Amino acid sequence: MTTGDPLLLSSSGGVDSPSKQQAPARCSVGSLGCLCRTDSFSSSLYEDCDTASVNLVDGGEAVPRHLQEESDVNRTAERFQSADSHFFNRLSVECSQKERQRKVSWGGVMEMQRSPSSFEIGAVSSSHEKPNRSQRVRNKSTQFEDPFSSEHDPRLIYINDPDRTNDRYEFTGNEIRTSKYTLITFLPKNLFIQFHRLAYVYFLVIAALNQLPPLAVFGRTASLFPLLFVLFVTAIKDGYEDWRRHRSDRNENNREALVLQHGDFRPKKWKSICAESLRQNGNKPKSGESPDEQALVIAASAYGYTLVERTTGHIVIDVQGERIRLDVLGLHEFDSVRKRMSVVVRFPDNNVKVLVKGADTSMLSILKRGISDGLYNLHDKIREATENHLSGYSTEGLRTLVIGSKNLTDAEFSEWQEKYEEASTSMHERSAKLRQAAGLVECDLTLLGATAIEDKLQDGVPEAIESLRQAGIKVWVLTGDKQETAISIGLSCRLLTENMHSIIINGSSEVECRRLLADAKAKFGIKSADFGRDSEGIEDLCNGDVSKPRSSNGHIPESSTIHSFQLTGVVAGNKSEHSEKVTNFDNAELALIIDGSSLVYILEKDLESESSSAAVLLLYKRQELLILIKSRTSDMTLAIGDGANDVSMIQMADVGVGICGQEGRQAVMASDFAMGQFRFLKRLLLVHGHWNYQRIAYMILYNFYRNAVFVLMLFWYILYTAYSATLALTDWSSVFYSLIYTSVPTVVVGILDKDLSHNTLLYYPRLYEAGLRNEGYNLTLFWITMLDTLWQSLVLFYVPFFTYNISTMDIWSLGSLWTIAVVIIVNIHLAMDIQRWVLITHLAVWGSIAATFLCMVLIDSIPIFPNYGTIYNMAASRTYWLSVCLIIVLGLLPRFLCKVIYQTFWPSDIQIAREAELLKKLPQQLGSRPGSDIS
Amino acid sequence: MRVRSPKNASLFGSLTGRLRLTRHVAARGLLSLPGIPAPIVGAFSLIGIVFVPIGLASLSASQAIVELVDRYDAECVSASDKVGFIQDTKTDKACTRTITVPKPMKGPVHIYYQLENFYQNHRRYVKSRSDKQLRYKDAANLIKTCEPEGTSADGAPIVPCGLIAWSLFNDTYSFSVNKKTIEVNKKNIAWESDKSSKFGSDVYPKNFQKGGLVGGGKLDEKMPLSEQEDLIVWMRTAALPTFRKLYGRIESDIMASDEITVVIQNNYNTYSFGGTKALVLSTTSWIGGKNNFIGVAYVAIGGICFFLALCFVILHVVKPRTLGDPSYLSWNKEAPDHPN
Repeated sequence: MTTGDPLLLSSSGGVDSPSKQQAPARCSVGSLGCLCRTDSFSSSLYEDCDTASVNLVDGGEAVPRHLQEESDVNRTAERFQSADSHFFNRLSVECSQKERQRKVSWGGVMEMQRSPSSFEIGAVSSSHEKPNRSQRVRNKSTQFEDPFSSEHDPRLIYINDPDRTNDRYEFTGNEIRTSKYTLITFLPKNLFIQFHRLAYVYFLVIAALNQLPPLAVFGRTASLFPLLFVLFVTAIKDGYEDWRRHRSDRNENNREALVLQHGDFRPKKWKSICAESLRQNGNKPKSGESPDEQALVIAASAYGYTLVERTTGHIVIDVQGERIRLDVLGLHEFDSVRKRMSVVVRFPDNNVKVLVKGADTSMLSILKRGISDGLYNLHDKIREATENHLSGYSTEGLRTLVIGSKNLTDAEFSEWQEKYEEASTSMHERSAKLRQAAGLVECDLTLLGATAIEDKLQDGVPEAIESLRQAGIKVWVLTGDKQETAISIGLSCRLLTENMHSIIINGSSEVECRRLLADAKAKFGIKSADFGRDSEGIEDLCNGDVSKPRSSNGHIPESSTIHSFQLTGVVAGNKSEHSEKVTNFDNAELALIIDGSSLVYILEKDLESESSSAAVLLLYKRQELLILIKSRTSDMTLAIGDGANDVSMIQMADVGVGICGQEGRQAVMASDFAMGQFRFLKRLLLVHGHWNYQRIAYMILYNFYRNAVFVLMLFWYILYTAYSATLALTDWSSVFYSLIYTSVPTVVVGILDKDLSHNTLLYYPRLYEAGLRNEGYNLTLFWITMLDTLWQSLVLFYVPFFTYNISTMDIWSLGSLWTIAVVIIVNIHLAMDIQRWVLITHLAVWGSIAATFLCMVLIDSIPIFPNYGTIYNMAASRTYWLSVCLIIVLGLLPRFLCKVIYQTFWPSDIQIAREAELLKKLPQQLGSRPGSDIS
Repeated sequence: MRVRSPKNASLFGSLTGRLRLTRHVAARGLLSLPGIPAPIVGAFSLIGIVFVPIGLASLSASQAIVELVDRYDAECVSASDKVGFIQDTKTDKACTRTITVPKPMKGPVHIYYQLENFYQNHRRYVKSRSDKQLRYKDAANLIKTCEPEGTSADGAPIVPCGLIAWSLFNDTYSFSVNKKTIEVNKKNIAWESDKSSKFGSDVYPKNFQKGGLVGGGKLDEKMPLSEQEDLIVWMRTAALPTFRKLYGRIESDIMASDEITVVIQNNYNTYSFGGTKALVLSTTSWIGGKNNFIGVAYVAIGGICFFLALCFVILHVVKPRTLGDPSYLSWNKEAPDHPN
């Protein structure tokens, strides 16, 4: 399928989603606020108003119709048989995947344009929308995007008329191929792909150099082994994956689909379906792209205004049982400049109206100003009431939209139509021209009302945010909502608390921002490191916030502990100028809220040197914010979002997390991690993040050690061979050391080791701070490890040296002793640090030692090797085993001693938690903490 | 994160902190008085228990071995030009040494020659051999790895080729105890595996020591390589620059204060590179040769581990810590009123 085809995305999303959304959240539609005094929806309100331009019919139609536009529910809107519509004061709509930060999406209309009819690719099509991005699925039959395209468009297809469709264009079949190789192309193609990686070329060069006698370090065959081994393993892996792709393609292609052929539905194999064979979709309810719109449509239907049918050309709605057809004459999609969208429709009485909805700031400025006194007064009143409602809603955390309309005169309409058509067909600057056309009609609007939608937080969001903050992670929330809404959201997700002092920066100019910041600083006594240097201060606070989160707090001098303050939350929506930045100083309990325009001033100032323009900042603000953080600090950033507007941010962050929600898959596609709900972030970071940090930190140290101890041991021997670089080990053993003898435990432990159980990690979120403090890997630890490595290598070399100096010991026997000793010591070293023993870990660690013996027995069984028979003779010697034993104990004794002293007398948090876990001192976390992550 | 006003926190915090401390002390006093970190003490004790006896046994075995070392390279050359003396093929190189046995030596007494400063482990020396040629009759021409001792002066392949074989040790010893000649058993001085599989029973020396420069010993061309045990021993190149190689065995016992007279044919040239030569007579035990290192190391480590176990017991009494007590968590120490 072509990616980005919304029809398929939404249809497949509908089928796919149940598996991904484990716990559908509930979102409810708030009251549909109208012009007048009550919050409940009532058509009679309009009668009360009794104005010339707003009448019952208008009011009754305008709202639901407007809602219909926002929805892409085709033909099959939900019908609520609601005689008593007032009863539905609040109406819950099941919709999965709600995100607080989501803007109302206007994209539904765009989608409808592209799907003029309600035909869908066969209902079976869902599962071949593979999550794997790399798989290109070729399907020519799905690309019918543009209804305005000419007849010669190859995308135009004729239902139930294969000959006509296939006349000029060759739709040979519908076969899907995601596999890379065939049996014949596998070897050359796979090798070609593999050698794209630099490491392989490196190995190849090493192997080639070893073929030249003067440069040969290992034997000729032995030096080829690593490369061949890696190539072989990768080829097997690729081959297996491709075999699975072949298999799934075969399943896919042989699946049966009902096909409309000769006026009849017949089963046909999927691969033989050509473009003409499409199955008409039945009355399958199609979910809206935006859950907000869905909510509005369903709410309207509950009040008796049901969307029945929606095509690009017309809308049919059912108003209290009476069907009304409205012709859609034109549509202005949402854009971030206008921040509104509008539709021009012809009513059955031939009136032409433009209906506009948008963010309150963008709408209030284009409302009608008083024409006559009487009208002005009334309109003014309505407006005042609406604004009161709006601020009330946003304080409650509801998401608001303002709706307005205007009757178009014939002259206005024809002028608009001309412009609109010209713009629609224009090849250049189409969007600018469309915007101009929109400007013609989007003015002097009559205010119809406002809607407010409650977008409930997903389950577990406040708990997740609280845990993340406890873990020492600075949480910023970026939203496009109004400031009041944002604060209310901040409160409801416990990012902000009532006890915090809020610093609200919402100046309309740089000077004002600066003043607000200076005031706030004076009030709360914040001193940043470079505050004194620069009297202007704006950048200082903001940069201080962002770049020096640990240095610039002087509020409570005696408690200058680790987290002097936290930055918690930011929002910088790129759709709305009402963005918000919330900063919380941990000690002082301060919250900084900055709106978008203020942030622009600050960012603009900051980024002046990089010659970024303000416009760029507006468009890419989220990204810019991350760039700012990344350039000013060494902190790692994680961005999480679900919308297409989060994509740039997700890509920019060190770790991008996409939530697969109803706003499309763009965020998921751009992300490093995809998850179903926000609350899983807690588990991702606190549990898997912690585990991975500990594993990787340890594995880095261990791998340095593992290789250094081997090389150092060989190095000491050179001192006793007249510096001639003799290798006491056999060529094969030195090659196998990192390939076979010690590699598997590294991999297994690097994947499976867990220092603490997930319950403990979730119970004590602050255990995550070990990573923030670089406890697992730092320079001190590195040098301590290297010191230990040096000691162990000396033990490895000198114990056999002193045991066998002035003896009959031959070089191969000593080499075999060293091989055995180094493999055992390295594996026991690892075993000492493994926190979680499972069967596979045992197999890997002890199996590696056994495999080493086996390999040595094999190597020493080949008579033409100079080392023939060594292991057999040595294994019979008691001194041999005593020295192996001595090496292991003496080598690991300092390490063991340091470890137990450190653990006993200076235990780390992880160590204590681990002991508590082992001694079962922890309360059962699931029971004791309601609402915690169960997954 | 708990939200609280700082004032409240400090008041409440210190109070519970004190309470917790009291409770902790009480709990320790009642329940965990011995409270020894058992696994740690156990591990150290175990190492001690295992290592000390092994060490003592090794030491005693090593002490029981009687080892006589007689360095003869300097004494057996009277001329001032030692290199010239040893390279002169006409001079009589016989040299008689007398060793008095301090303690009774129970047979078999192993006879070794010991070379010092002889880098048999030098990279180029070690590689200068052809293992295929040693094993297979038809592989006589595989001499590529043997440079510079691959071919004789007339270009014929040398069997066995290479520097190792070329530099074969060729001093010989004949023994008499109390003026009575005794037999030296030179059979089975090489590894059985080498004799049976590594050196061919149908491979005979050819063109050996017929190159431009004669190295060490010569080989009997009538005897297959698998029976040339001196060569086999020599070709297991030593790991370290001071090494011994088995020369033969005296099967009979030698009494204390017996006088062993050795007639040495001092042929081998260690003088040009400053090497030394010594004759070694040694009894054996399960530990091999006389070497106290293993025994001393085991006893020392065992002792250290006992000491460490004791230290941990003492340290635990002085500075105890209840395992897994959440109050030791860093954040609980800094803010004792944490809900955990």
